Amino acid sequence: MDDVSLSQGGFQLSSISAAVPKGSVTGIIGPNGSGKSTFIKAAARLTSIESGTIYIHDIPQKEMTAQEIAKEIAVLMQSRTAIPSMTVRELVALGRSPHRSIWKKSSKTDQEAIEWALNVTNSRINENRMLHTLSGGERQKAYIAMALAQKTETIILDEPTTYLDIAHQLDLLELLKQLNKTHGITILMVLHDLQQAAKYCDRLIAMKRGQIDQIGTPKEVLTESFFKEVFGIQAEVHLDGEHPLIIPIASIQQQKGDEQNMIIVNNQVRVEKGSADHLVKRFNKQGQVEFMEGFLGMEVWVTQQTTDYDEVTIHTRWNRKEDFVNWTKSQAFGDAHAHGKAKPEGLLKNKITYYEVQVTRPALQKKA
Amino acid sequence: MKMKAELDFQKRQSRRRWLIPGLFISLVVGACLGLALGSVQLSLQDLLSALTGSGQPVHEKIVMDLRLPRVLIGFIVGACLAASGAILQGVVRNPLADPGIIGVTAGGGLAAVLSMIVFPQFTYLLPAAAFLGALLAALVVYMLSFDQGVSPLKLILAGVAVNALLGAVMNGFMVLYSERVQAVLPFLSGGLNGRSWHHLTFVSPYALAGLCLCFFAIKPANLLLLGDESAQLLGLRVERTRFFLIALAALLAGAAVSVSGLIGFVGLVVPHFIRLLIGDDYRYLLPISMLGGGVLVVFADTAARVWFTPVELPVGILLACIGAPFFLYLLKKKGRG
Repeated sequence: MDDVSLSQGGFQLSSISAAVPKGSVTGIIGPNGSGKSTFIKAAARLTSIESGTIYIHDIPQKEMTAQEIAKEIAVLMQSRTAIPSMTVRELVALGRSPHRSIWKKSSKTDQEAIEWALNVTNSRINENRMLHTLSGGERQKAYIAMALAQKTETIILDEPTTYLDIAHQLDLLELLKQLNKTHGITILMVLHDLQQAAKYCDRLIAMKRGQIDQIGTPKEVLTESFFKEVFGIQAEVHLDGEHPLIIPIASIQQQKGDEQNMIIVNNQVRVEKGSADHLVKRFNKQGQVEFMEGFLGMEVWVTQQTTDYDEVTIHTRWNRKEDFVNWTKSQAFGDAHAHGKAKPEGLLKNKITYYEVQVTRPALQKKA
Repeated sequence: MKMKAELDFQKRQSRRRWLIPGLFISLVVGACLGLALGSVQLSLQDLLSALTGSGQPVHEKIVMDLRLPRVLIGFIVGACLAASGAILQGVVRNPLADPGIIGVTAGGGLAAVLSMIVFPQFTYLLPAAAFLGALLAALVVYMLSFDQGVSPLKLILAGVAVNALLGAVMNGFMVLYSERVQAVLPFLSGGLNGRSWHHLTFVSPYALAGLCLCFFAIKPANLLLLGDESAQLLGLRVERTRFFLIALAALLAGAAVSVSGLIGFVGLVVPHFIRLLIGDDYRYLLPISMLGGGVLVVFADTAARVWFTPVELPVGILLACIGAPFFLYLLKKKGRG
């Protein structure tokens, strides 16, 4: 795989562009719900993408058949349905399916691939055991052997070390490393353990809220500010040669004496009589699209004046003053308010005021 | 632990090797019994000469016109039901599935009852009506469970609902037109009484086509065992395959239902039992289930014919009487082991 770039609009992933160079071990890291698994699913076409293109060897992925993809990329997802009543060898043999048409007997190449996969994963000793009699680590290796039997240049793994004890985790990662070094297999995997990601990956793709935060070597990516921004924790990072050593200290949310600045904006709007409803609806629909980061909440008051206009007051909360100031300078702001050129229907007058507020949360008292 | 696992494996391998020849021998034995036993008992000598056309004309007529088609139909019906069950168990990834879940039994039953009510004089329409009804019901179940693809769970639920509805409608008609449906009662309990060559010529094209197509079901069924995602990742077009497998299972079961009526338990018990013996691998499971199902029905039909002479018990009743307790025994034993 030379280049994978995709952008998926909408809810989960937006505007993702990343390349996985041939022969690398690339890790995808990020907090829960940041879109790591979706990234992988899109790459393997388990979910369809809304826009953008994914390339496998410069060929757009959507022009390939499932079988063609299966010849290029082997994928091991985390979730597995019931364990089939099969031996390890039978499972590994299923990995040859993409290369074999329905009516052909297994060829010599198939047998060689199966033998090789069993050997490199040390599953040879288990080849005749039933899957459900294996331990978690052995079973994971059997599934990896199945993926290897596909004889693809690239393997994608979704959290391959989950549910394994530390010894089996290291065992498995060493195996992947060795496959990469001696057989040149490109590996793309989601890893939860950042220490392991730092040690075993050449490159990291860090994700945050459905977007790519940064891409680089572990040394470049895993910095103290990275932990603060992406994971919201305070951590110390030391360098052991090229590999960062991570010492997590505390979650920032739990830290003491927290201070928070915010901006409260009041927008008092005069509208033509009876059109308050219209304004509130429009606000609900469009008012929240900009500056999701800074936009924290809102409150709407509607006052029906006895005179010839109604009044709607909208309170919004922003994280930073700059966000708000930038918004007031934007074209969209002009279009949505009374002084703009494209003044919305029924709008008479805006009166916008804002306050800077500082909230101080007292330190949690330690019990003696 | 490991010793036991290895031992299991060896047992399974040797079973795979022995089951096919073993079942063939049983088939021959069963067929001979089925041809020889009955109200007129034949010795092996008589049987052989009747088959080769050098025996007494009466014996020849009994064997060739009455018993041989019945044995052949019994084998085909058993093979079709077992293969259909084996495939469906893979499709819904549930070892307790049988051809009933895609509605073929209920659909075939309702169509048979309707054809008896509308055309009571044309009993020969019954197999064709049952066959069409079975396929139609399977199509309805498939369409009801389709929502950007068919999930096994939805398929089961839709099947249960359609079964209940069709069953109720069928019972309603039977109450309303009780005088016309006498002819359909043996059909509903599943028997091979009076099945002859014309039944065989009606069903064999569909049944044989279905059984041959099973060859193409082996690899996809094996891949589906891994789950939809993994199957797709190994290059399988999951939805298309699932449609093919369900259609194939419907064809097989529909063919069986059309000539034998509603024989239960073969499609459930046989593949389930074979699975326990030799594992999930469809390369072995499917052919061995077919053979096993065929052999079972041939034996059971002979027994049902002979045990209660002069009354012939419908084979479906006998199969349910043996099959249900045996199945419960298997479940108990598996739970303990």
